[in-house]
Amino acid sequence: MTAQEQYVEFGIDREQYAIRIQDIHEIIKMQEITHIPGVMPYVKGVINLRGKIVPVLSLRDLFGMEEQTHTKQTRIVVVNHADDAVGIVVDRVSKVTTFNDIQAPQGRFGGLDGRLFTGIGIAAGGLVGILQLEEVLLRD
Amino acid sequence: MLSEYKEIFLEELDEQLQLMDEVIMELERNSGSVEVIQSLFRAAHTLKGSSAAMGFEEMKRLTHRMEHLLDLVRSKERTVTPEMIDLLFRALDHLKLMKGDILARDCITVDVTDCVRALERYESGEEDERAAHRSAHDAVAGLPLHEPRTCAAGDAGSARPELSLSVRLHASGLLEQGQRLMWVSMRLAPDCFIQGARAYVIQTMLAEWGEVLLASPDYESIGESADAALELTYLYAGMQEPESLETQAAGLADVAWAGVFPVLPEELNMDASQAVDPRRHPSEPQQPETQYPQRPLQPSAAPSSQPAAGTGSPSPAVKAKAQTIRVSVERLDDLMNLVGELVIEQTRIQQVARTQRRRFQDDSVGELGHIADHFSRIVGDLQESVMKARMLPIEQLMGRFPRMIRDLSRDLGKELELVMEGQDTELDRTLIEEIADPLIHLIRNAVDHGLELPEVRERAGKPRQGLLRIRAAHEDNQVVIYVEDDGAGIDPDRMRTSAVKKGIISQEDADALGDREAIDLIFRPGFSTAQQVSDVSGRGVGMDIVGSHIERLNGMIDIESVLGRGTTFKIKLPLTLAIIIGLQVKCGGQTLIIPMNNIAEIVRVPADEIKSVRGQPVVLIRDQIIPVADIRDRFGVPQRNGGAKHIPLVIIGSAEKRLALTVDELIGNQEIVIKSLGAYIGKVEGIAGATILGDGSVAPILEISSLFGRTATR
Repeated sequence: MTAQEQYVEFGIDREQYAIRIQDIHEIIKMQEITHIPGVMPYVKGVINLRGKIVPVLSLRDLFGMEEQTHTKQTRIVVVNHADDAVGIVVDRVSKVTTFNDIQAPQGRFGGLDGRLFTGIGIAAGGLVGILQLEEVLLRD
Repeated sequence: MLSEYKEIFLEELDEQLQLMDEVIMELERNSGSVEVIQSLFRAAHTLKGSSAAMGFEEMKRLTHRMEHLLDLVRSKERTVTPEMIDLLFRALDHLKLMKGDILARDCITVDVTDCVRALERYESGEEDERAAHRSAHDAVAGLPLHEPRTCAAGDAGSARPELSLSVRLHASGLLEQGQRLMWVSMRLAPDCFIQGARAYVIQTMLAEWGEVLLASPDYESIGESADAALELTYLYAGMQEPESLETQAAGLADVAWAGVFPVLPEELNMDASQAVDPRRHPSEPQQPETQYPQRPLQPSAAPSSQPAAGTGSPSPAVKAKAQTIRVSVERLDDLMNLVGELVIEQTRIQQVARTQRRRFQDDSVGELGHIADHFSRIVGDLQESVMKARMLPIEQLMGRFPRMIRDLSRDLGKELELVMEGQDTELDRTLIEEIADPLIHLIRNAVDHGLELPEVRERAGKPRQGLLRIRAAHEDNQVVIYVEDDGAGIDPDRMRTSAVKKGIISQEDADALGDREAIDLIFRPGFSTAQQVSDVSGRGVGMDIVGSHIERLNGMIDIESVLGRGTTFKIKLPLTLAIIIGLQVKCGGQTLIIPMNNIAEIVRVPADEIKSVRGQPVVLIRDQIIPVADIRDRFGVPQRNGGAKHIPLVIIGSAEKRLALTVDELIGNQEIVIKSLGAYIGKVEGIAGATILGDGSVAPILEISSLFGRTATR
């Protein structure tokens, strides 16, 4: 892991998280999510991304936080997963950033399983959890 | 490019075999007709020519024999007898086996000797002299008649395997590059006990030294423990001197003897096709023997396989093919997907144009509307064209039936007349492939269980000959196929008794069933009404598979049966699998799509007409009891409070099953493109996929067949 890799930093509640920029397909504004009856509970539904049907997850849901009504800042971060795209709803997207110091995750980070993170970025504003996408997306 | 010749050949073979099938049947019915004989003769002749050109010697031998026999009939020297018909069918079956061989391994292992001899013997009834002459001719051509043929050529030194056109072409190319072409023959040591594996190793070694164009026998066909010492022959191209190659080859493990022989120039020529001697049948219609492109590498090759084309009219099949090109199904699929995208966007443009028109009064808005209308017409036409490109007439499938039914009725001692209608009905080629098995099963079932034996029919006051009618038609954007017989019909009471006896349902359930539902028991696994299990209709594994197969294709099947009068199976299929008409419904605030071809009907019933029978809500529609299901329960959509007076019910069907779905609101139907939910979500129970609606929102499509699965398990 090079320290100068670029990340997109985003927030949920008061926490900051990040995803490697090369894993990100695009970031779109919140749009209507269609619920699909019978899907896994952490899949909120699907959206129409320019004619492609893309499933959407909620990080709040995944992290066991209360769902919140969407605000103007709510975004869907669309990440590449295998050959598909998967959307992740976040409260806000902050910036593209780099970390000078990344530390290995401890057993837990902010009350969450450490396995969900590849590392903890040390930034001026505080600690940023860098998501281990495989782990986040493949939860059952 | 080389395999293209083979493909063209196979395509033609297919066509001619199908034609023969039909024509021999015709001959059986109507023995004298000159045109019938003529077309059969022509088919045999065409195949003889093209098989010779491709180097399929066995096939040439057999078709030659057939041609000869037919020639005698044509010239009125012989008349058509049942025995002759059987012989012709037998020959045809051999040709079909060969086709399978060519498809599977590019050479023929079918032994036609018996069949050829049977034809000869039949002919020689009055034609001793000519038959003798023929066999002499064949023997001269280097074709031992009485020796079982395999892929292998006989002697290492003398007989070489036939070279197919593609091998010859390839070989000539290598020669031009300055390579040496040689026959390498080896005899394996008699004590070599894993001959197949050894042959594989030898071939691999040869392939390292140069190139192996042909191996005979192929190592895959060598048994591991053949008794006799095995001879291997290879057509080999390389740069070595023959002598050094021979030493190299002899040095290989388990090789008892090796010899290298030059390849004679005439072996690479098209001499096989010269056996097709146009002078033998001066009276036959001149037609192009083959439509294979000329061989550019071999300008010296004798063009004798092309007897003066142009003096006669080519057969219709040949003419038709000149106007077609071959396109891989994959490309058509891609095209279909793109059109699917277009359909979605076009619906959206329509919607935008409508809202704009409502909001603004402006010329440009009006213009947008016009453009949107025009655009949607074009997209509609485009979609239809692409769909048509994927469609084939169902004749492709139905053409196989007459022969099958003839054999079947003979085996079972039934007499029947077959009527087929609507062979030109077109449907998606995937569907044609998929529907073949279920249809064949229904037909077998009709002949075996439906139609009675002639004596039984006479006693019942019916004509001895039963009637089997297979009909295909387009009915409101669907394909409907009927299989009708005027046989005994299905007895609902016997169905009930039988089902109870077999433990499929309880006596109580059986008594509660209406006649229609009792007949539908035929689709339950493990059900067979035949008193005796015959090998034709199998062991009751058939009809339930028919049902599930049709279900998988999003189709429906209905049975109409009148006791003593006959049974009609009605199969409804969607025209295509990618774009469907869907009914949009609203349920608890969610929009859902129900595939239109799964909808039997839509009714509005007063709320109190939904009754409860043993805890299961049901509704009675035209004497049929249909279970009612609420989509909202199934999908956890919140219940709407306050009962409406009338409830819209969508009666859905999958195969023979029916279910009434209660919905909140019917919105209307529209063309939709089925999109998958993607690998991440994977398969969701009850959902077939999703589509994008005109406003850009997504709506799930219900998977009807799994809804039934759930009812059953409840």
